[in-house]
Amino acid sequence: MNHQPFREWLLSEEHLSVEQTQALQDHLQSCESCWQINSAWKELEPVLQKSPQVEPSSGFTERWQTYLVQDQSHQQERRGWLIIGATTLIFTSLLVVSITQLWSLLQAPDLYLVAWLNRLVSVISIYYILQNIISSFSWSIPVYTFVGMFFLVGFISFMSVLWLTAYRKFSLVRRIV
Amino acid sequence: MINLEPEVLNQVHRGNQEAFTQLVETYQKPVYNLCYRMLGDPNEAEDASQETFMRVYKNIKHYDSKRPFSTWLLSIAAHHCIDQLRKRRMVVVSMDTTPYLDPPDRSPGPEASFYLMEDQKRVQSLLTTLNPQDRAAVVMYYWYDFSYEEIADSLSLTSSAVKSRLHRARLTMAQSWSNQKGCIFVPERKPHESSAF
Repeated sequence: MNHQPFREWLLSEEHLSVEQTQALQDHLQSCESCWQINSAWKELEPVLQKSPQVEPSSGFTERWQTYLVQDQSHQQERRGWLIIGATTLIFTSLLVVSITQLWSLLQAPDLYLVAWLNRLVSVISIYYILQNIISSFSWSIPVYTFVGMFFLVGFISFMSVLWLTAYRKFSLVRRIV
Repeated sequence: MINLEPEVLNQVHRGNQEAFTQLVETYQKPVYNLCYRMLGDPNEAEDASQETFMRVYKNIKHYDSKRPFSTWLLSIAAHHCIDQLRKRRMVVVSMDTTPYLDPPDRSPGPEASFYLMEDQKRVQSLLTTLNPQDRAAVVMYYWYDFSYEEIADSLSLTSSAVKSRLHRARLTMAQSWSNQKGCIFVPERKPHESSAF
């Protein structure tokens, strides 16, 4: 047996027309299942409407304040550990680099100085190569365009970092609508 | 639904701790009630209410003052409870741990109180038969008199989705209620009885 639209009408709070009421009554006379749902809903709806609100046990606000203090101290503790961790990591990295360099210097001072001199020469030669490249382009690209491109690349990089940070921040609080 | 004065809300928005305590004092009952109706356990409801206020505290800067505060607050509570229910695999409702109920308007006799308590237990067990979002819609509709639009706004649904969810929930609850009653007694149907209106 087709129970639609009678179940819709039974459970709806919309006002029914005279024809709809008559059709529903006729259906209820012949449909045991809808009759049961109708009588159950007629009993249940007032119970739902009269259901009181339950209260928390006394002292809820004090417990909330304690919870807030605990959460704040937990957050502070976490921030503290994060700073200690980052500092330790940076310090350890610097220490490892320093020890390695110092070790090389102590093992073979002459080789170490030559290696550093080589690096210095490489840096200077790279600088001159770059200068040549830039000067060879300078006749075709105006200096303002070049500076503009430089700032544009910097701006795009900055905006990308900003976008990533904002995306991360907002995706964390997506449940707060 | 109780509403906090706009001045207090402004102070809360500015990060005033005392104003926030007043907010917790004002809204503890509706938030706890929603959490209890959703989760069915007083201890879990207490934890969920505390967590709701914590989320409100941390995200008060995201609150849009054009929206009713109670809708925003209860939507946070409802979303948190829905998340909690999804984490659960089985819902176990203890009928012995019913929290304090508001006294009825007229003081009933012991028999009436007993029936009231029994009805409340049955209502709570009916709610557990619904899926989390349908349950939230029913609680907001019957306990807070929210309109379809307010429920839709709180649960991030459309009004028509709320209507259909409420219809489905009513049908499920009526069937469960009928089955529960059937265990106690079988109603005798009188010939030509019309029970519709």
